[in-house]
Amino acid sequence: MNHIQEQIQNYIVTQFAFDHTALDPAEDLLNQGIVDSIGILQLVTYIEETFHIQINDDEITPENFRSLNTLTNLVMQKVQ
Amino acid sequence: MAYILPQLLIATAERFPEKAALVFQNQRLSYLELDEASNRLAHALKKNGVRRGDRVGIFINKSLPAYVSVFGILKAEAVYVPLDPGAPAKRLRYIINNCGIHCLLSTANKIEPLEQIGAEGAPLQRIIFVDNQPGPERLAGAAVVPWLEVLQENSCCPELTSIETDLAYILYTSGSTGEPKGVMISHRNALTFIDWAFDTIRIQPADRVSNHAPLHFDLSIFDIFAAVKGGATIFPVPAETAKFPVKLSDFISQAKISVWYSVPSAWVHLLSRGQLEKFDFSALRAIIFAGEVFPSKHLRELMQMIPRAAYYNWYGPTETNVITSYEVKQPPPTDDPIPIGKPCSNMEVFALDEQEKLISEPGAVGELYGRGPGVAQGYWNDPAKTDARFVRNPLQPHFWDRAYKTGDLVKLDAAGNYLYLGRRDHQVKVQGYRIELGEIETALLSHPEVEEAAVVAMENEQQITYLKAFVVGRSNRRLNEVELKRHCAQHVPKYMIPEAIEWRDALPKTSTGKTDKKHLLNL
Repeated sequence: MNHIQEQIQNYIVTQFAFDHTALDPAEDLLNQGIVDSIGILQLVTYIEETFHIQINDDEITPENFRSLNTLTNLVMQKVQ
Repeated sequence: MAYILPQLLIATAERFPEKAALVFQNQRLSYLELDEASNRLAHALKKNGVRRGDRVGIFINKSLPAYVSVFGILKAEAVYVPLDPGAPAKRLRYIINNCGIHCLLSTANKIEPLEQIGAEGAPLQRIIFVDNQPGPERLAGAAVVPWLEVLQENSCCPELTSIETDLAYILYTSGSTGEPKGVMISHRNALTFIDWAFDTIRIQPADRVSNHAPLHFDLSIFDIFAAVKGGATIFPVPAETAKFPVKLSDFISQAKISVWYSVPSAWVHLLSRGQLEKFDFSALRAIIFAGEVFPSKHLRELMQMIPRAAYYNWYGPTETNVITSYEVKQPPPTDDPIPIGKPCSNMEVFALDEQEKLISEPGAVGELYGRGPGVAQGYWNDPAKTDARFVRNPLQPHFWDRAYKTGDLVKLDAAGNYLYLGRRDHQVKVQGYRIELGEIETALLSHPEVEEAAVVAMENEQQITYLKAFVVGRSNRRLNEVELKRHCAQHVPKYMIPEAIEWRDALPKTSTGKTDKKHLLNL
């Protein structure tokens, strides 16, 4: 697991997935009800501030926010 | 005139049998189909032992079966109790026990949480699956009735002997002592609001009404019943769409929603991330909000963005449903809060000052009371809490008249509108959810390592409210934040779990030895 993924994972576990004993990188954060509408925007703010990147409004989609894996990919594309 | 809720559907199904009652993710249910499916379900409920006045739970994600369930239960002359699909098993078990639910309606995708509820010891006897998916024969200690069996039932409506003072539904809200309380709403209570709302918004058959709120939230009452009364089409907002601002903008635009009712925070998210300027909202003719204060600066922005719609600020606790309304005709010129307005028809509101004297002058502050046929029947199985809030009208010495004491402080403006000032107690609103801080504190304190806990509501830069907990540990072992949140998640729904937790060696105290929350708020 790379450093970016680890940071996002820590944030998700602390803020949203605390009732999950482990968070699988492929786990569906949306269907499992882990992240709600406020949570999505908190996650956006966290990612923008932590990695000094800008997430556009039309990048805030289920495809990008589905799982830890998809989130990590989104961030990796931007930091490179 | 309808005097019980199912009559609204029966009348509309006769007038517009082929019209869409509901559209959800490419699925469509006509009024005739909704009427017949709910009739079959009502017969099945009766066959499975449900009698007039029995409470029947609805444990279903937002989807067409949820709405069939609402009407099926009402046509079985029973009382529907919507259970929050995201609530922890302990809390659901409490509600199921509290109001004695023996029969529950659910769907196959809820097997796992149902097993957890069963493991907590809920006294369920029957679970009816309101979808076509196969399920086990027994679940959570109850016999499972598959939808195929329901489909064998008669599609005509069973005889309805319910009267308007019978209960229609029970909505559970946060309780200050750690347990939720069930607000009992009769058909008369609900129709008082629905009739007023229907007339005020002038719902037409051509209307396309959103349903953003979950069923356990009383905003859904308008969406479902005002739409059905008018033969309009309900568009439930899919859970995933509601989470993504651009998707939600697209949904409102594509579905050509004409009447939208939600908490203001939905719009605050759309304004910040929804790219509203890129979508066509020309169908949107009424935007109604309730449940929390709409920050004026955001409302101004929205009204400039979608200038054609009429805007309404509705106010009222679950115990009365909406009792005051204010039409916002111009974008607010300043950031001062907009009024909650004047009473709805067939309801009276008044405010009493600390000497229990009626306030009538602009500027004077008092606690708001509501009276009239919209006032709920009290809290299920809790006469003490009921008596504390549902009081004898102090202004009526001649006959026994009931009033609901809201706990909300208000003042009058020069135009006779009420202005909301805040709470007399520790209740707060987060995303429109009513939360008793005491319930969260009780959950925190039930952890063996927690000595003291105080929860306060704070505001972020977006003027969105969030919860922060201050916790004093019992020993030197510093509890981990995840561990404590996980503990809370077993007792309270997610929206009640503090976003931030701060550990302290002690909590600040007032001179009387109580936790000084004002001090904590200023930290």
